[in-house]
Amino acid sequence: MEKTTVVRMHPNLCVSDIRTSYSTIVESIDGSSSIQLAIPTDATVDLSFLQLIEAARLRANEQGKSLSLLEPAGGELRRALDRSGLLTAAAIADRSFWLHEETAQ
Amino acid sequence: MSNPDPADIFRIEAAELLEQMEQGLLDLEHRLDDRTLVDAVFRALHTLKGSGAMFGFDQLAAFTHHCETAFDRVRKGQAEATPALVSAVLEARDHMRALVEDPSGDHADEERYLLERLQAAVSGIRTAFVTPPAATPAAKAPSSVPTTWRIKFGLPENTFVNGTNPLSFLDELRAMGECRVVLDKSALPPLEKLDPTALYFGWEVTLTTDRSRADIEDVFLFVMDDMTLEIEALGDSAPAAEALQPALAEAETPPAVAIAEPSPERAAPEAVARPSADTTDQKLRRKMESVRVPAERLDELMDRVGELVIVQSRLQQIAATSSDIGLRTVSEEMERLCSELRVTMMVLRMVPVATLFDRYRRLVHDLQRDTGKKIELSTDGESTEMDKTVIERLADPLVHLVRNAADHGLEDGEARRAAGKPEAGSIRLSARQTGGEVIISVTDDGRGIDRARVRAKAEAAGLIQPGATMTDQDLLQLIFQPGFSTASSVTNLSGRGVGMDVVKKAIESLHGSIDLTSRPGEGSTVSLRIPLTLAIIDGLLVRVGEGHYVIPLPAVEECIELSQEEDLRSRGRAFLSLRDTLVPFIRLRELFATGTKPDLYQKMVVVSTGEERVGLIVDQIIGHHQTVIKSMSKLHDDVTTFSGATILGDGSVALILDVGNLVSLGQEQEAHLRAIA
Repeated sequence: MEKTTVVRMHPNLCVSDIRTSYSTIVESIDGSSSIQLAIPTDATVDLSFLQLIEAARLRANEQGKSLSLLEPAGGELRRALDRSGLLTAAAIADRSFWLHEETAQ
Repeated sequence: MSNPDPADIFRIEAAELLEQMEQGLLDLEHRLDDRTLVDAVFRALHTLKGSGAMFGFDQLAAFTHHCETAFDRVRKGQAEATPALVSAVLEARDHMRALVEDPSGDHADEERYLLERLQAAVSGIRTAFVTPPAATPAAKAPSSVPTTWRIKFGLPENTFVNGTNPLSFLDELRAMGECRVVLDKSALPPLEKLDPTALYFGWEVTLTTDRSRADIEDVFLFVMDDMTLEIEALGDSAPAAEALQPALAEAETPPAVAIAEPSPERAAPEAVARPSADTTDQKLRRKMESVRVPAERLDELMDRVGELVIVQSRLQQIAATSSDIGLRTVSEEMERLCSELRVTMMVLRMVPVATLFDRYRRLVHDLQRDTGKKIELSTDGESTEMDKTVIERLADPLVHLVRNAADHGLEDGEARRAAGKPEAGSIRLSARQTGGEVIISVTDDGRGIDRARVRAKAEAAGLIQPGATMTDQDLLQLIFQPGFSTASSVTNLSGRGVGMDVVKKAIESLHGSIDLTSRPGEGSTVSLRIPLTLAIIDGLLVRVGEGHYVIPLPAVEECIELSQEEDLRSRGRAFLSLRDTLVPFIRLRELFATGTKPDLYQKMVVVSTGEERVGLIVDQIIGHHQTVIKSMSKLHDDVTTFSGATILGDGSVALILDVGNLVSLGQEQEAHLRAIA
């Protein structure tokens, strides 16, 4: 079983530096079958990052790879999730990904 | 090609917003009651604040917020637009520009001073300044009965890049009442097709509020033209959380408001309404009419077109010597297409001179304050178009000329009244196209240039010998000498003697020239003659001896044959009678010392620079030639007869004649012959 790669993200997760995050994530998914994203607790986050992660999740699913967050969303990331309405009608899998909530069996 | 940094894109946007703001403020200064202008300034401030915050220009956002607050109060009728407010915000606008350029610098002292000015300008607004720059709900009068609204909206893909934060819209909606926000990620593309700076999310919001539909629309006021928006009343007092069922919403009645179609990649939910297909299409088309393209890409494209024109010229030459009809047809078609492509390319680079003239309104506003003189600026011919690069390079020289006109040219009010002139001095900027050049003039109605002082200064500076005989034009041209100034004291406006020679150098670097006329007591006019473009021109290819030369076609008036009899008759003279008018001429074969015999049937090409004309005697007229201008090397800086060179189809080089210079030469020759006659 392949080792999980932990990818430590830059604290600027906003549109001004989103291309860097994009490259990091694309390279990680291409180079590993199991990736955990470490989001700094003091990271600044906006919608562009949420979009990027949602697109990355789709890619990982299609390729049968594992993509997860090292820690449940907190700080600015959680605030961006709440403000955006991304979790309002979220599926269980979505809540599990972002918040590490238990998956109902 | 690398993607631009979003912060750089914001800087470009900010520059445009600041420009709009300045023009709006300058107009408002004269029409304080004009609500449209107040709204325009407010919108620019609001967008600048929002975009600034989005891209991390926090100081800019915080500072701009204060000015926005002031204008919001004016907009709402809670404060009046006054000259003091306009003046304070104009100064604040300059500070905003500094904050865009240096977002991390220490600007605290400047900000404190400007905010005090702003506070003084608007009475009763003090409390507003302590409000932090945060999204505030629209303070509109509530409607009487709470209503539940379903609001579906999608924003354009360039939303982030334009500095708009969609989350702020959601915050504003939440502040209006009970709200449920559901994000729609159905338009999100696969990772490999994702542009990370584009927005793909859309939203469906259920809001129960006592606010009106107009209040809800107001949330999207600044992006309304570019977005899709559906607002639908679901019924009175329906709790928001219960009312929202996305699947059910699809089956509801058609929405009442639909603003624009989404882009194809950004397909929004199916229920986008089309109240009027034509209106929507027109709106979309209007949006598509304008695309922002970095100037360097246009330059690259222009270079490619230039190379293509050279290759086409070579193809034309090969086809001309071939009997292959197919090749000739292709060559002719290629020539037509190249010509059209060149014209299209040139048009792409053309911008109206108005973009240049608008900058000087603020300069004159500040000059009035600094000189204490009343100055009226008027403009003429703003729709004249020029190459964008040329316009950019004219900006600084014109600043010098306008400053000189205000500082040296115009008298103060008292002197003007004593001279029987209106108290307010006039500075007029005008532009007009003539042939292949544009003439931009700066005219003032001031005291005119004092020839005696110019002469005295020039003699004192050793520029001319004491008592030297000079024509009036030569004397006036002395003011373009380095270090020359007639100002008796140095001011912060002019009088340092570094202005006019810089102007001359800048204009010469554009292959242009300067004319100066001045009448004592009546004022002066400085005219800049600038070629329309610096890239490709239509030329007339001629042969002189064994060399080929290009004459810019817009300057050509007519071509006539010079018979042997006329050639012999005109020996030792420099004029030819052309329809009863004497036209000076220059034998280029002699001027260029070709050492060849003249052709049996020489031709005279009559060229002009507007008012003056001269005949150029050549051996052969070859024909029209699309001329890609290549600069001459530094070694040839002092060669004034040619303005550049071009490459012909066979790879040889043809020199481009500087018509202005040749016309001057012809006129000088004429004056000399008249003098000795």
